[in-house]
Amino acid sequence: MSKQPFSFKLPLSRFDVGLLPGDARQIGSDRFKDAVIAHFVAQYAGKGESALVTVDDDEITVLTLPEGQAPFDFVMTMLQSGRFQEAIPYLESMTKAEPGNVDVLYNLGLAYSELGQLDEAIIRLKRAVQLAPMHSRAWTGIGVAYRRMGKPEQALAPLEQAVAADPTDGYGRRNLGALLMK
Amino acid sequence: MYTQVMQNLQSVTKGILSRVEEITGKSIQFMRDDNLAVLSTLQMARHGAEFHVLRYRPSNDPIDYFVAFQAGFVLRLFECDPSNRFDFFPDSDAGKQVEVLLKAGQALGATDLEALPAFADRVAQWALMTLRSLPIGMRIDQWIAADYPELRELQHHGIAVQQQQSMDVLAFRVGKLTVPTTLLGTLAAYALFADRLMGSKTFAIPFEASGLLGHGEELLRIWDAVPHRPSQDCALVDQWAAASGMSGWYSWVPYQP
Repeated sequence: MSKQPFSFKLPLSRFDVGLLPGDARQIGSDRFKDAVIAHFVAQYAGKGESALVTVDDDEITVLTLPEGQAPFDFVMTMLQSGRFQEAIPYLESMTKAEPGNVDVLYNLGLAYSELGQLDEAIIRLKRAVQLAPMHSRAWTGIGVAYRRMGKPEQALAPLEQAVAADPTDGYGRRNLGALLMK
Repeated sequence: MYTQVMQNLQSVTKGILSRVEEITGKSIQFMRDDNLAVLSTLQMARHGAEFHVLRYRPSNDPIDYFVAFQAGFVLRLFECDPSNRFDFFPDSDAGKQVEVLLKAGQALGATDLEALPAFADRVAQWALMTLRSLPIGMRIDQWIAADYPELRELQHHGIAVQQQQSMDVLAFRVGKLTVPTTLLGTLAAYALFADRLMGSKTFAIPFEASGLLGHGEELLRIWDAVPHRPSQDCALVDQWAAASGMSGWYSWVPYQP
């Protein structure tokens, strides 16, 4: 019988702020949220486990993972099964912990795009291509998001960038072709 | 429909149930119940009933641990001298005590005040059921771990399931109303116990984050200090109640077969 993921939620008011640095004890502040995430990640890491932590204005959500499962891989299973809404808070938390992680930014952008939150999607995908200018799929994601916004003229340049970055990638070529056929 | 046998139980579990039949002098009948909220319950034969009833919900997972755990309560009761067997009766005013706790230290708005009596009654019912079952249940877990290594894997899985259920209580709220911290020490003690029993280290983390670890450690110290004999079970519950501000919320009534 394999170990199952363990998850819990805590109202913000339940958290013992005495466990946090002095400048992070204002419940609900950004510093508080970051410190809570760091607290739980460190607690579980100290016991050899990994945890995904999100904090919104209302509550803390912690998901600990079965041994050997990397947080990003676990979130990818959510995305692959279409659970975009569920995956986004975890990806947001991961991108806070690792602002330069292109894979996280890319998948976060795609998740927002799938949910129709296109401004949010474009912000993440543009950050991804700033960090990795040859990331063909991220360029394509930007173009697709602009198309979904009904702005084909703004979709053209990123789709051309996508094909330039990787001429062999059928996904970018297909989307550029579809746009040009209109 | 009752049956006299239940398929798929391990021989050790059947042995535990045979011990229940032997010590109580009554047989166990099994009843499938697809709507049961938990995997199994064991209702003792009382007030002239001819047999105990073990209800179970069909599951892909083996239910041996849960059956053994339920049986443990019966065995501990009947291992006591008849004059030392008691039923636990919640006081009908326990909800009022919880209301006092909920009002202390916070100003409640009209919506919260309206929800307060029903919320307090629900919390009182949960807190008393937990007080009655957790410390004795931990004795039973200790016994299963020590005497039935065949059930160890199922026990660890079952305890993990119960720890997950504890998390729902930490998060439970209606408006600004949450379960008062003084009533949550029991769950913290159980998490610490589970970590100790299973060699895990993480069940206590949510309770530490909630500032409940000290209370949990106090209750676990009491649990360790009170003699582990079944005849001391009521005293154990009483000491946990005293340490959690719940003395007087219930009474012990002589057990009537």
